[in-house]
Amino acid sequence: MLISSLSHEISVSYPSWFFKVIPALYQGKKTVTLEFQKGAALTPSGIALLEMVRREAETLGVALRGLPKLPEAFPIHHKDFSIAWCKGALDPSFMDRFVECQALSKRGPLHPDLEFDLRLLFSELSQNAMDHSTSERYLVLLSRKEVGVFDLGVGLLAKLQQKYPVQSDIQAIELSLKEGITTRRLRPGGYGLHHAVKLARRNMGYLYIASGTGQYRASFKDKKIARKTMRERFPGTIVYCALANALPNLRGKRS
Amino acid sequence: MSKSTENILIWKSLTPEEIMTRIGGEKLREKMSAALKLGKSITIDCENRPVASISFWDEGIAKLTIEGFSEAELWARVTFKNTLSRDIEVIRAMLKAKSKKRPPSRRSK
Repeated sequence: MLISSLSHEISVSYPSWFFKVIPALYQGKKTVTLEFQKGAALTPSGIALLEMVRREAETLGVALRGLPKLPEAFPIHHKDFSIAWCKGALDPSFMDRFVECQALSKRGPLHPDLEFDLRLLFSELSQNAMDHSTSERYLVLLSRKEVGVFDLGVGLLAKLQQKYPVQSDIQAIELSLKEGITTRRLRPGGYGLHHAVKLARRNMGYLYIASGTGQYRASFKDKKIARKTMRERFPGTIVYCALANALPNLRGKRS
Repeated sequence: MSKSTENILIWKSLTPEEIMTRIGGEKLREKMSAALKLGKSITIDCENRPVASISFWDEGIAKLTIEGFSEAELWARVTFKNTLSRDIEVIRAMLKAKSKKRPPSRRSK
């Protein structure tokens, strides 16, 4: 099976190829071929998506062709970003190592406010994936401008339907953004994603969530929300926060 | 009237993994609740390190309002030392959110 992408960039911003590949892996195909536009820029979020595809194909015994070159082993701490597979408990050392690497990079240490925002988002989004996805593992992406958590779990709709009368994946995504919405039965919660969104809004970035057949993109700079229902079902959840990079770096102040 | 002050050093009392989660928050809340019920004041010291966890502060402090402590009382009896202003902001937000949902007063004696 051949899946093509004409986008100039391989990233979360142009994910349609990803939402075709994942269902294709489950359709019993022996080989799936990816075809990207020549010269398409591979971004950190693109690496995360490709790594999800690679790992799932490996698990299902599907041969993948046309995959751009990816790191052999994770976690990776590049000068611009860090990506790791996480299992079970949250790993604060991944976040700490990312901060250290950034401090040693040309751009210098993270501004304290930016570091705080990234830690907050990393903590809350990872915890949600860990608590709610029921997936064995999830992938986390960190850079100076973004935090993304990607899992192939049950998706938001299945989890929220356990407690709330929600009918569609888009409804589930929008419900999950409300304060106090949680799938926990015995304890209150439901503040992490809501406040993570408030944070992105304040930094004038955008928030992207995909789960099941639903895609949701809120651009806080343009004050626009776009919702889309896909034909194919994506068995998992992506929560991706892009910060607008408004904060200066601490140039010349290396630790 | 507070009889003494309970000092809690967050990074010495809990592991880094606990500090990111509700589990750590629950441990903090148990310590705080016990001290508050004894009439103590509390000083929380974060050693100028970011905690940056909504879940931790929500479970650790904001949930004390469900045990019967009002937001005003908590601010009066709990002092934050060496704590980033961003963490204080998260605590304020969580306390405000919980206070809106607080059931009618059922103060523990």
